[in-house]
Amino acid sequence: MNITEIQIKNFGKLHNVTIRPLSGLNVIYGENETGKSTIQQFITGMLFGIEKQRGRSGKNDTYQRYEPWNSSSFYSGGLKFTIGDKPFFLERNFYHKEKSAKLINEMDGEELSVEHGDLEMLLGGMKKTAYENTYCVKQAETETKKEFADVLQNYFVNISTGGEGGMDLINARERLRDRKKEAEQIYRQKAEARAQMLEKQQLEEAHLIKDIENLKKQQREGIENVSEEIEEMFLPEHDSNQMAEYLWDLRKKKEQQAYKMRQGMAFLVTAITLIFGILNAKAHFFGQDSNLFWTVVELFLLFGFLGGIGALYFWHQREKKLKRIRRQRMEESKEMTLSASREMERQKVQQKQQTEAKKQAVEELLQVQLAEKQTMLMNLQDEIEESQKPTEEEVEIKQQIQAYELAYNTLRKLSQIAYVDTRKQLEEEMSGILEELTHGKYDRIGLDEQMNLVVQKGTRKLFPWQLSQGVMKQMYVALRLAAGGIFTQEESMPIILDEVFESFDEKRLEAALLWLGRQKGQIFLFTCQHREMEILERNNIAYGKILLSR
Amino acid sequence: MKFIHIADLHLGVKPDRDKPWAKERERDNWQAFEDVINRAKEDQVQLLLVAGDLFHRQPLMRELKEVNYQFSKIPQVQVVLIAGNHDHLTPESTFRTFEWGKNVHFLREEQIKYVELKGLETRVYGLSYWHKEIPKSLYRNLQIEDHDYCNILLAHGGDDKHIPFRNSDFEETEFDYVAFGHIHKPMEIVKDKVVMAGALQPIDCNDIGEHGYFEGEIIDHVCHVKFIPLYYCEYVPLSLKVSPEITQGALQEFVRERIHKTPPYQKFKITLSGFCDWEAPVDAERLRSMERVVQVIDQCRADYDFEKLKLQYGQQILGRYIQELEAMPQDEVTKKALYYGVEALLAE
Repeated sequence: MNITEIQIKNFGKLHNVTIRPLSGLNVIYGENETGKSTIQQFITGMLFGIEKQRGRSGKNDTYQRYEPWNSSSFYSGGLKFTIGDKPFFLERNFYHKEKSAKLINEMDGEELSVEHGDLEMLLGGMKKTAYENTYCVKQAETETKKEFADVLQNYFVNISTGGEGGMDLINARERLRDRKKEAEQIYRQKAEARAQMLEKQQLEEAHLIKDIENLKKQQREGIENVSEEIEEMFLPEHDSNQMAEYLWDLRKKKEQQAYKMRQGMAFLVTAITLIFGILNAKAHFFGQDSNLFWTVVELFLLFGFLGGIGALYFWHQREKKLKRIRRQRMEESKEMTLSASREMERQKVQQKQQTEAKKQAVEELLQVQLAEKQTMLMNLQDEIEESQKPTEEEVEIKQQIQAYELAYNTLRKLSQIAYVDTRKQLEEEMSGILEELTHGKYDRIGLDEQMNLVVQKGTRKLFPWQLSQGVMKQMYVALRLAAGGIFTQEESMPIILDEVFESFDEKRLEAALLWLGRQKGQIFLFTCQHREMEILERNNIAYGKILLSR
Repeated sequence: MKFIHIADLHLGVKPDRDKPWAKERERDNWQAFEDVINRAKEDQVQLLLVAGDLFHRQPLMRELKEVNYQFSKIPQVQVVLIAGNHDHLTPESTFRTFEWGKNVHFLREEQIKYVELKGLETRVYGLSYWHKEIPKSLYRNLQIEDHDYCNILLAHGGDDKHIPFRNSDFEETEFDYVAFGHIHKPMEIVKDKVVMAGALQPIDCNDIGEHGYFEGEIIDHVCHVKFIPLYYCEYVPLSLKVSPEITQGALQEFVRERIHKTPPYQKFKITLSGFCDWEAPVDAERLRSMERVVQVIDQCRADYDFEKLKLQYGQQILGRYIQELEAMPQDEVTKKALYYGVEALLAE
């Protein structure tokens, strides 16, 4: 990537500033407070955007720090750059209420979408933090040598774990993890559906078991219940009828006696009239003494006699009739009682048989029901057993999950190995730079087995804190530059060096500038001293000179 | 003598239970059985052989009664049946004690016995399963008592756990006909002689292809059979090779049209293979919910040339990843993981 034009419209203290850097080394000179760091922030701000942090005010918020001094709503700029051979023009409005970015391919005028990651793609997927950690080399903000040694150490380790391959690895691993999560979700759904069915079956099973218990209970109790019913059936019946029969008979008997009494009376009248008639005949003979008085007496006796006979006959007949009815009735009743008891006997037997049959039928029915339910239970238990096994689909998805996990773990393992590789590459790159910067004084830098940063001076091993601050700063620069080279092999980003050579002596500075002069990419060297430019000119190194003034 | 040979009806089974046509399948199983009974009547066959697994599980009394009723509709047909591994006899099973109609002969013994069919000069040999599994080769070297009779073996089994046998066991068989059940795919083990009837109708979606029964005739100890298919349900495998250009919608449309052209009794078992877009993989769940789709197995992978990739990426992470996985024991999980990892690494 090559920046061809920096157009600052309104950013921090700078207004309408246009800079056209060269493709190689550029020195941006300015005294303090002339806007050197503003330009640096503008470049990173253009490339990666600036987010206004919410609710936080203060010196650490880039947005607020570079909010235009004259007008906070007019906060924008443009950047022209080439990637490969293609020219692009990027415009941004940083104002948080109207935040926008416009990216145009100047070759064909096509507008690209920053929102959809076209810019990020052009930058080879580089993120702001990665850029700031590599290409943007600032003075390390450290006070002591020990602290600086730690910064070096940590930086080295961090860079090695996120090497070029590592960026893709992280994405790949994220993908695998996402896929695994999706598969797990489907698996859970399937397993849950099966669990629900299983639950239903188990509920059904519980019902069946209960049914079976009930049937068994019925089988036991049922027989007892039936026997109670039988006893009830054998209770005597018809006694009230017999009573009526008896009463009727009693009444008729009384009637018969009354008839007998009346017969007796009639007999008595007949007998008396007969006796008197005989006596009368003895005394008089018929018509011998024809006296009216006697004639009347004789006539009276005659009527009395005849009436008595008649009454006797009548009541006798009545009695006879009653007697006959009674006898008949008695016989009938006798017969009835007899047949009734026989009938009852028969009924009893029949009932007993019926009950017996009923009992048997009930028992059989219960037995059949029980057998049926038991078969159902057995079958259901088979089904439950089958439901407990995972389905084909579940097995398949389970395999997928395991495969995603295996892929993920393998990649992680390989990325750890890759870390060792990156480390090696980094060490080599860094050693080369360091060797040049130190004129071959230190030719080897790297991590030892305890992951401590070690510098080799000939055969001597030195830890950073054993070195001078100057050497450490050289090492730091070497490390940052090496890291940048490793990160982007396709498209290198502009290197920003902010006062990093301040503490270098003349010799060291010259070495560093010679190295920089040979680099292919674009470099912005910010300084507040003239010596860099002097050395470059002395060595006939071409560079772009950008002077800032208040 | 004309006969019909059926097996593995699995009455009472509930196939495709999570599908909308589940009830229909359950009913059709019974209907297929009734069809056979009607056919036996129409064709005036004299013998109906039921080679086990008439029921899917222990039969209920009402199921037995129903089956017995069906048999009673063809009193002139002698029915011989045995219990298979699915409806094996247990001390409690109603199947064991059920009283069949006069024309039904149940070979319920655990050892091989025969039943002599009056008027047919036929003896049918066979045994019933008393356990779920019988790992012994009970059908080997059977002795026939009287060769004057037409001798038929009614058998059930054929895998390791269910009376295993080799086809060669039956090449020289003295039986006039061996009526097998158990394996659901219909086949003539020895042509016109030793026949696996196959399930009358498919029991689950793994029973692909045609299903039905065998009808045959034995004259003077020579037998001829022919397969009669029944079309209530047939599972058809549908193998689809996809590519990243095929969208979900296009795929569904294709499947819908493909299915639309087929007779309605066919149900489809889809296997997806080929290359699919890593970013937008095929949504197998949506295919699963389509009409007449019974199962979807998604084997979509990228068709990578691993050898080429290895050369191309060599010592880089991708090359190493392939090498690493190829060095592992090759099971399904490893194979899948190889594809997944490469896909993830190559994704943009």
